[in-house]
Amino acid sequence: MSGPLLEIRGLVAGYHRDLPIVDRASLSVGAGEVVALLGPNGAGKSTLMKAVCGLVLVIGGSIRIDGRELVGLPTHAAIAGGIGYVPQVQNVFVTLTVEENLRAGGFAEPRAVRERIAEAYRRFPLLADKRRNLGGELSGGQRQVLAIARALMTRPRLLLLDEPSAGLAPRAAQDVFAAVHGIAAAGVGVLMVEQNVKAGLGAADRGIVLVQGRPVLAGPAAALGKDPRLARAFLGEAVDAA
Amino acid sequence: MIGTISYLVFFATVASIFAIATLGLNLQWGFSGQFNAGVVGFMAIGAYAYAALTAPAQHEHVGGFHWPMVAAMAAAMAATILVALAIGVITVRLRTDYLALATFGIAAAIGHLALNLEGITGGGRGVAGIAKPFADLPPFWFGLAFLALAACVLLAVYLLLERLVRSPWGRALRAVREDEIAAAALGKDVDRMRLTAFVIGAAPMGLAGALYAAFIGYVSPYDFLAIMTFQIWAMLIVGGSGNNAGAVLGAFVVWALWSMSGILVVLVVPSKLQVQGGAIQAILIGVLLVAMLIFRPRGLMGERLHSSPLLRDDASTGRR
Amino acid sequence: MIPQLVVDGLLTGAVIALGAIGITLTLAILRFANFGYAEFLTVGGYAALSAVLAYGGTGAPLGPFSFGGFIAVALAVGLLATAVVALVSDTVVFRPLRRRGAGPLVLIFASFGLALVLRHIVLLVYGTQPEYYSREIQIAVLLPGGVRVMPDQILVLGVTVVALMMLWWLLRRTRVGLAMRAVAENTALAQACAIDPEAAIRWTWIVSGALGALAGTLFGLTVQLRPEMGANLLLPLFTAAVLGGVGSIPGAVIGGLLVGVAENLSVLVLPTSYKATVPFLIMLACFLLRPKGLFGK
Repeated sequence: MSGPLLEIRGLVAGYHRDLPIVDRASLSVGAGEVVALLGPNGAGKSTLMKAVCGLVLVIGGSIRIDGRELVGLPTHAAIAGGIGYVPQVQNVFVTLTVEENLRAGGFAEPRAVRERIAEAYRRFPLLADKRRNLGGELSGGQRQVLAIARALMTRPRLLLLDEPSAGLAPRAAQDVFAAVHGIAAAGVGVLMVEQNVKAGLGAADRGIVLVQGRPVLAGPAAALGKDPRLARAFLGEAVDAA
Repeated sequence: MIGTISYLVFFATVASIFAIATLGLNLQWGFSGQFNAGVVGFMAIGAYAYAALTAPAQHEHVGGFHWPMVAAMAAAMAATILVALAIGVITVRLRTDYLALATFGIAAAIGHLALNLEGITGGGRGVAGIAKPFADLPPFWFGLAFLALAACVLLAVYLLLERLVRSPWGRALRAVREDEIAAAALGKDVDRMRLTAFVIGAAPMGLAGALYAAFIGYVSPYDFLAIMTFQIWAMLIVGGSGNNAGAVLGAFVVWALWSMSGILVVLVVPSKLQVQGGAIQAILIGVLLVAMLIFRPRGLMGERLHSSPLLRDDASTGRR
Repeated sequence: MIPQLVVDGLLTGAVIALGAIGITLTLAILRFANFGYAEFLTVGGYAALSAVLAYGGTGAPLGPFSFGGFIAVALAVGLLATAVVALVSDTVVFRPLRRRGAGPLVLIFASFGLALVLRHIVLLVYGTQPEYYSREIQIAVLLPGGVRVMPDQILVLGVTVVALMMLWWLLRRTRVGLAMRAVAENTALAQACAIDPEAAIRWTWIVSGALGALAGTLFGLTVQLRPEMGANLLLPLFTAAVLGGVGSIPGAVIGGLLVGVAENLSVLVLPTSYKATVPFLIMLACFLLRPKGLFGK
């Protein structure tokens, strides 16, 4: 496999043309790699993720998956190209049942849906128990599991997770990260936004710190965790680009 | 020659009356983003109020109050304001398309009542003998005098509204239209401002209705059909909403288009199909306006695209 | 007296319910109040009429009904024609506006314009006189409680129930229905599932157009066809949708039935000249007391 799975170069993106939030960001994620995207509030982490899916305006730069350019594609086409996306909030359909949520996730591959749903139930037995419950009836942790299972329905090559452990009890969060591990082990590239630096780096192979729309620090997770520049970056102090 | 001048005078008078109503709509929509889908209802209230107060007594319906014209016009505006207040209070906190529904509903209800409450409105026969100013003048001079009156009223309404929108209140109103959340954060009472704009904007509509009644001397439910709401909206959109001069210009332009299409239909369509002529006119105007919305939404004089309320995504102001 | 009024109200209400579903779907998925929706009833009813006129009638009356078997073909023609008109309206008017970022209020104004055009085209082609599918006489059926109903009216209820069942099947058991429900709830999340919102939108126009055509044909069958029929029904349709709660189909059905029954029962307390204002009063009451309607989120 030549080249990284996901390659972002010089991305400028935001909600309005005159107000970019992501400001010339470049990063890459390899297959089977878990990359944690960290940074203070408002740094543009979620926006960057949405840009990859085409859910915010891309003003400049390029986003490629396996060499294919995604910029300019409508969201459903970008996703169909092999992306699984789990948003931070409202990441399950509350008026659809668990099973319908999964069916929606597998919408692009109707012939494989039945098999994939069975697979999802094997992997996440709690979903099987709740298959006829509405998404709105699940607890926070259960919804998170459903959201991830939904994103996996098309066997994506790249998984985008926006704060997967947010609002979860530590035990549930651990389960989520363990699932992420298993997913990456199967060869999927994972880009994960995490507010909780320690947990994020603990679950990742690599970390990237985004400040004011641009990566300012990056490196292997363990090393980054011990890097004194990490705290400074979060506090908004200048950091030499890594 | 006289005929042509008479026609132009008539044209300008009706256009001026429409322009007054359009100015009111501009305050409601152009300056405070509220969709009044029942403009004709407010005009009807003004017209019937004026008619009820100035028409002679008839055994079929109430009358015989013989109010002086100016007082009756003031009362017409007051009646319109009261109804607007009632509707506004109920809908001010709701999603904006509910305001459209409610105003649409009230215009429809008013239309039904006008047709059915014979004791008050004369039903389908309408009310005749309404007091006209300059009633003693021969027709040609009456036309000129009334045009002068209508033009003066239009000018007065225009100047008053311009004053209002340039005042601190008017500027705050525009801030609310642009970004409601920010305005609320700055402590502006958003709901009350919108309600006030809605109510004040309704007054010229009632006045226009009263002027119309005074001009023709007769009103009936068939003078106030739903298509009139569409015509006034078209005037505002063509002229450019958010701009009072544009509203007036739009009124004249659209009324000219409407009149010309009417003449065109009379000339081109064979006489046996003339009854359908009105339908052809409506289709032409409908198509024209939808095309305008698609290709030049800011109208003739409206503001630039990105700040035009027409193209603002309602969701971005949080009012859904 | 009362049972008759209630039954008459349910029959009117069935037609309103079908149309209200179309409106609530449009509100939920297209996210704007389509003031031109009621013209789909007019177009549908008149398209079916064209088929009937072309055929020279509806065929020999079947059983106690006023119409013959051809009415089914006419109905199919009406459904198809209206679905096409609905799709064309979206392609020509609403999609370009969506692309330019038009807010719901612009779309509402455009829908007014569309309503104007559609209504007057029907007026142009058919004139102002009321029309009927068939002038055959029917004999009323006597029900317990001294209630009289026409066989056609019973059929309207039956057809409505069947239509509702088909709609339920579409929304709950098909991929198309799933896409529509997903887009109605959360468009961005649906997109993240690789669902194309434009496809869901096209289906919404087709389904709501077909429902409108059905409602219009049933109305034409049991009352009459007039070019203003849509315009006159617009307010009751919207009231039913709002009363039931935007986006709720069961709500639209119940809202429709309630509006029909209330309108009919109102003659007991209000003079008949106020009857047509009842839907508006219900709407105002709804806004005052419970803006999100009976089943709204």
